[in-house]
Amino acid sequence: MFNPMIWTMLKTALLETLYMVGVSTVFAVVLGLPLGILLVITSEGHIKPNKWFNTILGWIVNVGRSVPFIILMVAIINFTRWLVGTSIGTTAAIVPLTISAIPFFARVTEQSLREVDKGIIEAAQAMGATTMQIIIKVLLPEAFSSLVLAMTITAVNLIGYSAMAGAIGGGGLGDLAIRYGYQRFRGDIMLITVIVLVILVQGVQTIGNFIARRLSHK
Amino acid sequence: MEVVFLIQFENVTKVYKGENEVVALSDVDLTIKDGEIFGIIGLSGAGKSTLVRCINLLETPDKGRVSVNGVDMLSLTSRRLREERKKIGMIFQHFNLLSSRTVEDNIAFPLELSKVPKKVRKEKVAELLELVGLTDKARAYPSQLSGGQKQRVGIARALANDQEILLCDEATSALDPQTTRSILDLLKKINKERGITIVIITHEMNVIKEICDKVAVIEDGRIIESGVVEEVLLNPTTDTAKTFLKGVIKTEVPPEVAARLKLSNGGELIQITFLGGETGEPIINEMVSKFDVLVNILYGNIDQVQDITFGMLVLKLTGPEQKLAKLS
Repeated sequence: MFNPMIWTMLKTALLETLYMVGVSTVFAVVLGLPLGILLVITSEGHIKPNKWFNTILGWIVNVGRSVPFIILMVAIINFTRWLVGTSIGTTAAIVPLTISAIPFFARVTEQSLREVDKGIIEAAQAMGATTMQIIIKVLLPEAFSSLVLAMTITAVNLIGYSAMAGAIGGGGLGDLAIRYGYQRFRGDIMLITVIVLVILVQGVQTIGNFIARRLSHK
Repeated sequence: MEVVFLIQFENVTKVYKGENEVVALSDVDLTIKDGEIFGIIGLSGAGKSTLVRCINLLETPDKGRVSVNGVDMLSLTSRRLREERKKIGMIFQHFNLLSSRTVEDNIAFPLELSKVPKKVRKEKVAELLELVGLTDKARAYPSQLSGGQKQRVGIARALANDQEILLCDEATSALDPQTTRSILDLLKKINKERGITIVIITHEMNVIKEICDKVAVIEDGRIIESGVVEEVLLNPTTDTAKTFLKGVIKTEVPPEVAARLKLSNGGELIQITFLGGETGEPIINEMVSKFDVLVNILYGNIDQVQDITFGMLVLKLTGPEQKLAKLS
């Protein structure tokens, strides 16, 4: 039952998952962070309040969060093809993964930044800080530990979503579980794949928690 | 010689619009001189926090004029406002330190904002740490400090750019009495040694009594009483001021004592209140020697407001009728 071929498939699938989730998380953070920052600073009572901008941006983010991942994957096939040259495979899967994660990460970032004590922001204003200085020297550092946890949650979400990447030939552990474990009735493969996924998620969460705790000086 | 008003408010009004319109400040006129320690006292919601925030425009008045160091604050562009803010230091009730930075980096924060080079920053920070007595805590994080220590960091930070004005928003309200004392001592020292003008917002008359030169009482957005501290403390004209003073300076005989005193027969009861240089002693001696009456001190309360003594004594005078009449 546990012949070498299974282990090879497993290893490949694991690497594919890590690749998809890793790259998607990085892009989601890079693109979602500014969105989250904008959501916070334009909110009422913050440093650059702007009701219309804030409301519209909020709507866009909400729309992004509403589209089910599997539909998103299929809906943006043309865009994916334009961006990476193909609409199938692991690299192609990164596109919908990233796009679905951006609004999510933006919201969690917004949450983290909102928790920064308003008094500290007021002190920075009293010291003559510019908006940029407040964002870079106050908001981000004060929320850093919280942001690391936000990235961790996003990564774990993406591990789950990556399973559906199999629908566009994306590979990965989820794909393995579906194709062999489910469609070919190989319960043992399904079981092993799930176990590996559990370990992966536990690992990511634990590392995330550890880093967040180390970064927090509270 | 022209007196320079460092901070001046003219007809300042601020209204918060919302479900209910709240008038935070109403026609406030205020002048604070260079080098003064000026206290503003009032109950919660009286408008004192709003008032102090109108000095560096963390709150913007709807009407009136605010000038600091001759600059009309309301006429400034955003950039100029930021520059002026760098000249005004502020400390807060809850300290507002950056938890992600060490003590020395917190103090260096305003210097970073002003793009001061690293070497100069280090020197400045070391000097400030010494001023507030926290040199050994340079590398500590705020979470490791006590309230008093955090406020000291706040003070050091507020003076990092050689500010000449320091705003204190309920700076000691979250500290125990002893720590409050030490922070007030530090503020007094800074004022004496560096001539820094200090504006203190508080709801504790004790704080005013300890270090302020002048005080203004604010109620419902209006300044109802203001003047030199000794005078306001000794002769409060408004009920609000009197209420604040109740626990602080006793210039009235408590009712229970007064009742008891009335019962003692013979002689005459007089009450003297005195302020400043005149202490009670010579007066009593004078009474004894000049008028040949016996003086008995039945009740007294003597207090000190900074360097000035004042208080009140209830005396019973006994002696021959004519002599007592002569005294009156």
